[in-house]
Amino acid sequence: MKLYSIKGGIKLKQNKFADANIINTLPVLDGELFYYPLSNSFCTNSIPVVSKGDVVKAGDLIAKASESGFSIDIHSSVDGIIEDITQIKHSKLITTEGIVIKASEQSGDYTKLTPAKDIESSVKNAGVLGMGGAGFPSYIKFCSSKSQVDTLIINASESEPYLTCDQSILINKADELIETILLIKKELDIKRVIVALEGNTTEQTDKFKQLAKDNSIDIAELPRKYPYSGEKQLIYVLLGRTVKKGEFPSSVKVMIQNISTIYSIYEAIKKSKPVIDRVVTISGDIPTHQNIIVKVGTTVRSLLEKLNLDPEQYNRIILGGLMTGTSIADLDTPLLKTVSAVLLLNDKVASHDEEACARCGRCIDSCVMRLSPTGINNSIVQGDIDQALKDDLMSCIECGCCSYVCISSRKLMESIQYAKNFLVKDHIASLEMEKASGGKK
Amino acid sequence: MSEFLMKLPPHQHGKYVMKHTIFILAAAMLPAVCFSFYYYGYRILFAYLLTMSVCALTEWTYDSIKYRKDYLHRFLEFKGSITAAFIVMTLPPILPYYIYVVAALIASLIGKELFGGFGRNVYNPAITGRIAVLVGYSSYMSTFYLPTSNIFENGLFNITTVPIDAVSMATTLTAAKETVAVGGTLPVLMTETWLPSFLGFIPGAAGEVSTLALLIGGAVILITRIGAWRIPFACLTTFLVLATVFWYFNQGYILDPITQVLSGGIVLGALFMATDFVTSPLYSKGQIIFGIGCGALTVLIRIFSSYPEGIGFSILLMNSLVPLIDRYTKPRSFGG
Ligand code: SF4
Ligand code: SF4
Repeated sequence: MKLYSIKGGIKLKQNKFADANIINTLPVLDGELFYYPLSNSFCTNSIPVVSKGDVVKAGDLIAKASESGFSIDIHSSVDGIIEDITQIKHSKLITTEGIVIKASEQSGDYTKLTPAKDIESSVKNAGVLGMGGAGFPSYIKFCSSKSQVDTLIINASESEPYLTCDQSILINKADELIETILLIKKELDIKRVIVALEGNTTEQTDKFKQLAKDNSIDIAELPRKYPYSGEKQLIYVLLGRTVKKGEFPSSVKVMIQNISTIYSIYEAIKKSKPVIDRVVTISGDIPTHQNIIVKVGTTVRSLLEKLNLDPEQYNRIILGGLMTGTSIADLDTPLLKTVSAVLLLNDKVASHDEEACARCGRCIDSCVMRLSPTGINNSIVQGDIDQALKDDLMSCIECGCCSYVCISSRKLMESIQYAKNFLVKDHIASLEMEKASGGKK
Repeated sequence: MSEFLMKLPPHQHGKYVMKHTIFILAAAMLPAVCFSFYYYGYRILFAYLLTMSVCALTEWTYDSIKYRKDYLHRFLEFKGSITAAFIVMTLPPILPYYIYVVAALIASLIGKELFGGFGRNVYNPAITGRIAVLVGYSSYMSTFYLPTSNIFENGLFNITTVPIDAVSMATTLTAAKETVAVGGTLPVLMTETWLPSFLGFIPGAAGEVSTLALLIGGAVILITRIGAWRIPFACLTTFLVLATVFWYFNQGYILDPITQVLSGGIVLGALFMATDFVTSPLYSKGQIIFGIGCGALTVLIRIFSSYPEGIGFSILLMNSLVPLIDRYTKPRSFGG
């Protein structure tokens, strides 16, 4: 299959130690606490539908999506009792309101979702999120895609180091994945399906490839470069279509789904199972690397205890990949639907001071969005948010390449993220204030 | 409870850092430096070491005073060594040593530190230092030598005196200017000078004579993408085109384009100095504009001014336009 080439991206060391052929399951202990934050950084808070002391079963709805904005349903992943509704830890937000459940004896079963009329509503009822890390509610993609999409892209490439959870699903759940893909294809009347795999995949994925071929699904093997799996990049590389600034993939008639998300959709449609667990890669500087099914809401502490890992031996814990994940300080942080990996690292972190930009241009070459990280960083440091916005600050996909390559150790992506999350809002607010006061004069 | 390190993503950094860039740059300069050593002997090696020490010490002292902190790791990056080597390479081979010291001081203090240090300087520091002594000590600056022997015949440790057999001689460019000034004419094609000029057996500044050595080093810089290839490409193309046009209409009064490109500092300037990443434009369109500017100005200075050589002035002039160029050549973002 012909691939379009794209400027930028970097080569990363792979470190894919965790065996993708086997998926283990993490047991649940009596009395273990599970945490369910009511929001993620993307969505507005869900509204709790349980109160303290209620008895819940796995799969029961505990918070429903709020009407305003993007929001999702949250289900209990264990049988247990509502311990509290209080402030809890969140990997991205530090603390947020959430529900705490104390596990009781597990029946091993779950409450089935009420059957829905189409994929969109079952995806919505199951609380499916973009499992690649961004955490965009999936049903929105479906409702904005109805009858205007001609291509479905399945993103099965994991370009971040260590991660093999998507690959493990690809290997172990090939039949289920193909079935779901065909279902979506039929329901949305999609003409073409492309599965994007990483280059030099092993023979283990041959079964999936063969199945895909039998069902006339295209396979594209991407070069091993990070971050080709960004949505806009992938669409361009595969189809040569450019998603305009501020638009969604549906504007170029494409729907794009992560492979883990497809599997969640499978469970939602075929097994009526809400998203209460997911495959997580456990890796890093640890002796045994593995892929393991973890219940949503499990804390890092209990995960490590059950795996016999001593947190004292590591100096960094990262939820998600090395390039985009979040480092956590508190072991009581829960694993959520979007966490694809837990990395335990014990290495020296070179703490270089930021030096003045040497204008070497490496960050510009590495940026797949063709931004000028150094220019934007400069504007942010000088407090000129207007200029940063003109230079298209908001288009940054926060891939981290620029910070990775900078020879002066400048914190480029960090500053851009900060500006996107905080400074821009303030800036817009102050502009409005100015306008209001200017109007009065 | 143990402390976990909190850091914003990305959680890893590339292995390639500043010191590697400096190292590759130094390696790229090695062929030309070796050639000057072979040609002028230990005297020139001593000049390199002297200039490097002056640059490094100035930088270190300045940083220590400014930040009230010992920046040993910065010192060890040896950023100043590149500037220092360029200074020696662009000056005539045999000079009183204090001129090197003056040039090095001006380069690191005025050319670099006064702007806020490495990365913030607008002008190429080496050229700043060179132009300063060119203006200040102009009598020394027009004396070039053509050694008839090399270091092995010259006595290995003779660092103080001029090589015994060196003949004081004008460079090809100066000689041509003088010939025309007294009413003489030049051969249309100076074919017999092409090969010696390419190899470097002509009088000229210490590091710029051997085009061959410079091309090898330049290839290293361009292949490792430390310098943007667009700059030397645009610069040399413009230079050749303009030189050919002027030569075609003034045959006998202007050197042919091949001799022009092989003599003087145009190759050194285009490959090594114009590509200095700190003082060249960031974006591809700007790099082309910058290259064209350098090439065109050099031709104009060579032909219409009293200076035989103009690459240094051209680069400095274009350096000062870089902020402006950068501002108007920003690329569009993906889908933007
Ligand atoms: S983090 Fe943003 S600015 Fe940096 S390389 Fe990625 S997209 Fe470009
Ligand atoms: S990589 Fe770093 S030093 Fe190079 S231009 Fe970008 S910010 Fe400047």
